[in-house]
Amino acid sequence: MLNIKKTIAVLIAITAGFVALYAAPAMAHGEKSQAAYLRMRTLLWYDVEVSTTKLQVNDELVMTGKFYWFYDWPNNIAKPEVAFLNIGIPGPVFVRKASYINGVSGTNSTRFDIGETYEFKVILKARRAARVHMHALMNVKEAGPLIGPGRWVEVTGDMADFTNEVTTLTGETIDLETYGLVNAVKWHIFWGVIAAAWLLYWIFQGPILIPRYKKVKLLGEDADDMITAGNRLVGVVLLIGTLVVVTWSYFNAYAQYPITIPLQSGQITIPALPDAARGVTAEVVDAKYRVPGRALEFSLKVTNNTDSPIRLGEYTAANIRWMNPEVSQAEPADSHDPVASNGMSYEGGAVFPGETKLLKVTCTDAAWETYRLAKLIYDPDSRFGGLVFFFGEDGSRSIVAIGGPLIPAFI
Amino acid sequence: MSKVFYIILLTLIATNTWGHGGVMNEGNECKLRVGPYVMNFSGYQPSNKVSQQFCDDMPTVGKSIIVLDFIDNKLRDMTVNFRVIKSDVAALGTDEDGIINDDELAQTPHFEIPAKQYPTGTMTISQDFTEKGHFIGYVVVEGENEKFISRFPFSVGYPKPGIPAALKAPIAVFLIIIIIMVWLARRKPVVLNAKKED
Repeated sequence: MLNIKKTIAVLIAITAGFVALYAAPAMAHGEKSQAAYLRMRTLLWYDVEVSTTKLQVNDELVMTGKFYWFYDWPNNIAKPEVAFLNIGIPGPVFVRKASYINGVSGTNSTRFDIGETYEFKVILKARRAARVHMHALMNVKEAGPLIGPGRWVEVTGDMADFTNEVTTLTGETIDLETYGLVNAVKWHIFWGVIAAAWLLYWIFQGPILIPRYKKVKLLGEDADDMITAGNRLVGVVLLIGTLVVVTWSYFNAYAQYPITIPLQSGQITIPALPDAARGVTAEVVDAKYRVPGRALEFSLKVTNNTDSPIRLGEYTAANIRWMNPEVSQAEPADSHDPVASNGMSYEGGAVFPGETKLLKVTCTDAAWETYRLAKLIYDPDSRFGGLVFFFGEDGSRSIVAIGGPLIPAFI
Repeated sequence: MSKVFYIILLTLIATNTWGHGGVMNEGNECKLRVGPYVMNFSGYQPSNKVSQQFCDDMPTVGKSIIVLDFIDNKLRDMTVNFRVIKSDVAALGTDEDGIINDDELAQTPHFEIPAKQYPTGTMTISQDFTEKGHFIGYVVVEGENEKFISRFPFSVGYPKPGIPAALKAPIAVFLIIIIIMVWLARRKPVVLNAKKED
């Protein structure tokens, strides 16, 4: 007879196995592998800089920048109720000495407001020699890491020279690289030996694993008879011994370190920066992505409520920048910095104070394809997002978030 | 029964990698290798298969668009020349497809995009293939002190034989389910030791 429950369970297991085996290897890595809508409509980073790209072990590096929580947040992504500013580096090449968001310490997790802008600063200290691509990133609870722009950084020197000294609240100077290490190793070995002895003891107490399970089934209600008086004695001795050791170690640690504070796990709320739009509004009227041309074309209704004529100089999304070189210029910081130096053009000219004007904007670059943003047009909700940068004749800069539905044009 | 199972298993776990000379279909991306540099290769036939993307071979005649997206930014500072010549034979599907032939390069091309720089990293080639046939594409990139050539044969108007790619996975899953159902129906039920003693 066919057992329906078993059949379903086996089918699910086999199908899951085949799906895993059939999955084509991912050709992208890091930020490119994240969905386009996630990169364009969650956290938008800009003005990200590193203080240096070459440093020695023990030297400090400062990463600064700004991020904007996109107003049209995707429904399926958790909002930043609990988030933590971090740096993404493959391996412990640096230690973080401090981080700040709008000047407030970023030690704790933070709640952020959608539609607001914040600035950050992270101070890192080089720990070991490596050449790494480091990213600013924001860990958002239930949403995962939202990755910022990356920079290639090279650390030289000897890790043996690394020190990470701090002064505690009691005035003692300690090196966090080695502090407590011997004690941790000692206790790991101690409990490892106890655990191994416990396992070994039971290996020699009759059948184990499946044979023991079968014997338990056979004995039924008398299965407890398998545990002898000697077994029970060993168990009681180990239980009491464990409690004694734990209690002793607690009081010993308390005597050695009488002044302690708990690990800080609070959550703070940091006020946002003033509106970066500075009196400029912009609204997408229509937008299409020209597939063979690798171009995003959109109409932008812009109102200028500032005192200076403004012109469009940049569009940024998913850490890629499309520059209008007639207004604003930028070159890639390194070989993996996606800056389309000539990627943006527009029709409509300057928008004068008090004027509302329709601009026809085109953002062209291979990055739409090579950074997998063009995949957006195959989403069930093909909406794009990003920031546009307007520059006034007085040198001012207004940053406005834009977004809307995107229609593909295949011809 | 087990042989069929293993055949299906091996078919499913085989990675979809194949190529014609310089153009390689790696997983879900079509790439063109020119020396040490890599471009994304995308073919479109807007009048016949509007939203479908092809890797070198064009299944039908008609207006075709080939787009090369430079993955390596250094290509943006180099000139790129694209030329296509007619061929009597289809791609062999071997390493020979990628061997540069000076006689072919000396021929008058069927069509050509002269060498120039593409600062946006995208080269778009539009061509109306009026009749089906076999062709050889050449991409020549040239910088200050370096020059690389890539050769890739392709066909126009010859649809790929065999089961359409979109149907392969559903057919495989269907076959697996049938095999498992038959296997479960034929095997003997498990009897626990305890029950035996009863």
